[in-house]
Amino acid sequence: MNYLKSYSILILRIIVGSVFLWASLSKIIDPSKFAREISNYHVMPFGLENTIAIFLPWLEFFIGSALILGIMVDGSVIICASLLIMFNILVAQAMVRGFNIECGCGLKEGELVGFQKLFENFTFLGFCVLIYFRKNKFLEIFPKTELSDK
Amino acid sequence: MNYSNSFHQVGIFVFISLIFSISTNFFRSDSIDYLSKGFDKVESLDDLNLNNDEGIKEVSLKIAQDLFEKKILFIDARAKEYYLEGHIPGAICFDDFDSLAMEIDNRIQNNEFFVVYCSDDDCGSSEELSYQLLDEGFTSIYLFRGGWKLWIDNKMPIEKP
Repeated sequence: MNYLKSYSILILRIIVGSVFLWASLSKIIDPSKFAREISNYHVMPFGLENTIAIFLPWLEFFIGSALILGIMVDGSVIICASLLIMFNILVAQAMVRGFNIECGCGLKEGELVGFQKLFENFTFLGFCVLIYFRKNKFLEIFPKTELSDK
Repeated sequence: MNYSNSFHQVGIFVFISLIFSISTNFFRSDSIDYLSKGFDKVESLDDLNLNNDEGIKEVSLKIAQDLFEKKILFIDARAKEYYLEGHIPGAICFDDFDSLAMEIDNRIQNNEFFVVYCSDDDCGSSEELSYQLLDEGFTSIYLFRGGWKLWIDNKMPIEKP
C-alpha cells in the first residue's frame, strides 16, 4: 500500500513539474509577449511586468525540473503552491473586472481567463498539498535526509 | 546552509532563478528593459510623420476621429462575432492573420499607416495584434486603446453589416 502511495506521489510530482516546466518554455523564449500578457491584467505598478516576465519563467523552469527530478521537493512545491494561489487571485480579479483576456499561462495558445482556469489551478494546488505532506521520499535525489513530521 | 529546511530551499530556487534570468536577459539579442515604458502617445496630427514614424504609437479618441475622417484604415482586433454586431465604418475584421495581413497590404500604399483597436482599454488584443503586424513587416501602427467602447460612448459613427 505504501508502495502504491509512493508511486502516486511520484506521478503527481511529474504532472505538476511537467506543467510548470512546459509553461515556462514559451515564456523564456518570448519574455516580451509574456510581459504584455501580464500587463493585460492591469495590476502591476511602475511597469514591473517586464521584471516579472524576465524572472518568473526561470523560477517555473527550475521548480518544474526539480519536482520531476526529485531535487529539493519541499521548497519547489511550496513555490508551486504559492504561484498557483497568486495566479488564481489574478484570474479571479480579471474575471470580476470583466476582462476577457488571455491568461498568459504558457500552456495553450489563446487560453482565456475563466472558471476552467481557476479549477485547473485548484486541482494542481491540491496535488501540491499531497506532495508536501508525503510520508516518504521516493526517488528523490537531494537532500537525502529523512522527512520530519509536518 | 540547511538544505532540508523548506524555506532555505525556496531561497535557493529564487537565487538561482535570479542569476539565470538576469544573465540570459543580459546576453540575449531580444532582451527587454526591466521596467516597461509603455507606448509613445501621439498628441496631435502634426506628430504623425508618414515616412519616419516607425513602431507602435498610441492615439487618443480625438486623433482616431481625425484619422477616421481622413479615411485611414482601421483594423478591428475583436472576435468576428463582436465585429458583426457593429464596428467603426470601413474597419477590417481580424479573423485570420494571414488574410488580414494580405488585405492590409492591398488596402494601404507604401509607408502608409493604419489604426488597430479592440473592445476597450482592458482588452489587450489590439496590442497583441499590433505586435504581430509589426513582426510581419508593417512599420507604422497606431493603437487606439479606448477602442470600441470609447468610440460608441462618444456617439461616433458605426457600421453594422
